[in-house]
Amino acid sequence: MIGMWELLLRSRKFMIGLAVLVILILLGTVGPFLLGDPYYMDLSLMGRPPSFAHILGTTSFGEDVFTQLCSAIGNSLVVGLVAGGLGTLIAILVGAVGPYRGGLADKISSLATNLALVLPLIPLFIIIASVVRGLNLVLIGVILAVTSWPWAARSIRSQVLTLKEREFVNLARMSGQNSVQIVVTEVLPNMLAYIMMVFVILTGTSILAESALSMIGVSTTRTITLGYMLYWAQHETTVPFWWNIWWWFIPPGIVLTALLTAIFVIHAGMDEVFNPRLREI
Amino acid sequence: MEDTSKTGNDGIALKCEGLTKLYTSGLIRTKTVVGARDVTFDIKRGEIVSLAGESGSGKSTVARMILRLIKPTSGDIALNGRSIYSYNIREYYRQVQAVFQDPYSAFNPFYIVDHVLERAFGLREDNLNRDERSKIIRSTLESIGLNPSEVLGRYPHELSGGQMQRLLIGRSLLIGSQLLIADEPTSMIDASTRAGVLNLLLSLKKEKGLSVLFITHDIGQAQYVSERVIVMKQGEVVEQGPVDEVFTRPQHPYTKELLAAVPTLYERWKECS
Ligand SMILES: Nc1ncnc2c1ncn2[C@@H]1O[C@H](COP(=O)(O)OP(=O)(O)OP(=O)(O)O)[C@@H](O)[C@H]1O
Ligand SMILES: [Mg+2]
Repeated sequence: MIGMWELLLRSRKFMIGLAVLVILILLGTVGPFLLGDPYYMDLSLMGRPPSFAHILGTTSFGEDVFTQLCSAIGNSLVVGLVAGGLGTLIAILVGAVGPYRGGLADKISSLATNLALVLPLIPLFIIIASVVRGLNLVLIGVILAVTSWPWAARSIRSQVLTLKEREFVNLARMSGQNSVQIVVTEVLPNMLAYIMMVFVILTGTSILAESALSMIGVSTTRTITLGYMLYWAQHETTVPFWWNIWWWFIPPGIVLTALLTAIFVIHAGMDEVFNPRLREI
Repeated sequence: MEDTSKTGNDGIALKCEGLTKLYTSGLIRTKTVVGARDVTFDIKRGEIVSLAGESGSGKSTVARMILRLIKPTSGDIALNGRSIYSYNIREYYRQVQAVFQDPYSAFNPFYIVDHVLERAFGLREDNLNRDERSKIIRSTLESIGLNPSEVLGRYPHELSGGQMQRLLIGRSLLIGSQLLIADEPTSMIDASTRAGVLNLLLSLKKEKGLSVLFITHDIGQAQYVSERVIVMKQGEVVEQGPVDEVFTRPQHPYTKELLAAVPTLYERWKECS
């Protein structure tokens, strides 16, 4: 097991993805502290191209694009991490409880998984966005989590079912351990690598989902995320053609692409290391 | 279940009566597989009894019922005269332990092998500190022919099958169990280390009065290690009695068949003694 983590550090894909991610995380966490209010509008500086004072220019509201971008990265990451973390947790709980409790619990968890699997995300969001006032980042993360866990729960369930048949589970039972202890100390540690991969992929897809929803205007319209920037960049009409302000929509587009690519490359690197059949080393 | 029978003056450690297990699968059209049917036998204290039979004859099913890992469909199992279900879990596993067929599956690959031994202390009543535990672990391992520094602190894949089976036997000694269910403990380890494990069981029986249910499909090993043998076929006991009688004058045609199939093994195991 120890060897796995060392292999991970030697995986080029994983390390490159991680480096990009770390840079973006720094921009998203340190940036907002140094740059001040991203919503500050300087009405004398509307739609200015990049300059020394505003390295990525200003929006047509006179907001600094770079300042907004840093906030957007941070906020998109928050949504992603909340959704990824919570989604992973739900997937583990729902996926592991069935095989361990059996009977009714198994049937209910399977039913819940299958129902959630066909939950229509966009209509659900439109309904929630229209009903809930003050849709904030955490709430959006929670909603994304609630809709994103089913496939993960399914595969976690099948892994638990396989691991459960291993003799060390019986041995733990014969050491006086109860089911919860066995799941936590014997079964889940063996799925750690897989659970991390689930977390990474759920985080990535949640960031993507939030951006997509923002772009069509059904996510939060008050907090800056990458999708929010793209939404305003294309809906702003004070300049005849929105694509004239290229410095407004290209940076969030590039950053979103880089962020998602980094996450999926990290996932691919982990897959190679943890999945012996794919391992090249 | 009265207290008088608990002392078990009859010297019987484990008694199975009419033990039956039907596996059912499917929700609507249920399919039933016979795991074991009407299995009756007992094991005396300090006795090694072999349970022999071909693959799928229900040996592991019987073992799992005794180990309380699956519930019998019907029948009773008594440990020292009391139903095994009248003991609480920890009390029961303090007395009955197991060694499994596949040592590689018995150790969690996530942990160093010490994990399994440390866990064993959870069943003991004494609250030992770290040093005391480590001391007992070392002396126990030495007593069963393992060099502690060779096995402790290692991951399962760094050990041989024989070392792992010994560790599991050591684990049951740490717990202080009186009855060991050994489900084909030698089938996954190479022939040269097999004799060592078998001899270890024999010496534990002699020195500690350990009772063992030795499950095997190898008549030769049954002959070598035990004085009584139970032969199973398709979930049912077809013959049981002293090893020499059963194997030299088999009554049931199936036993004859089994014996005919393994003359070479029989010879080989004789040499080990
Ligand atoms: N969980 C289960 N569900 C359904 N059928 C089972 C289950 N476990 C065992 N069986 C069936 O019960 C029968 C007895 O199996 P068992 O594992 O007890 O045999 P065995 O004598 O231990 O064989 P082997 O020597 O291969 O270990 C077999 O027909 C098997 O297919
Ligand atoms: Mg078996």
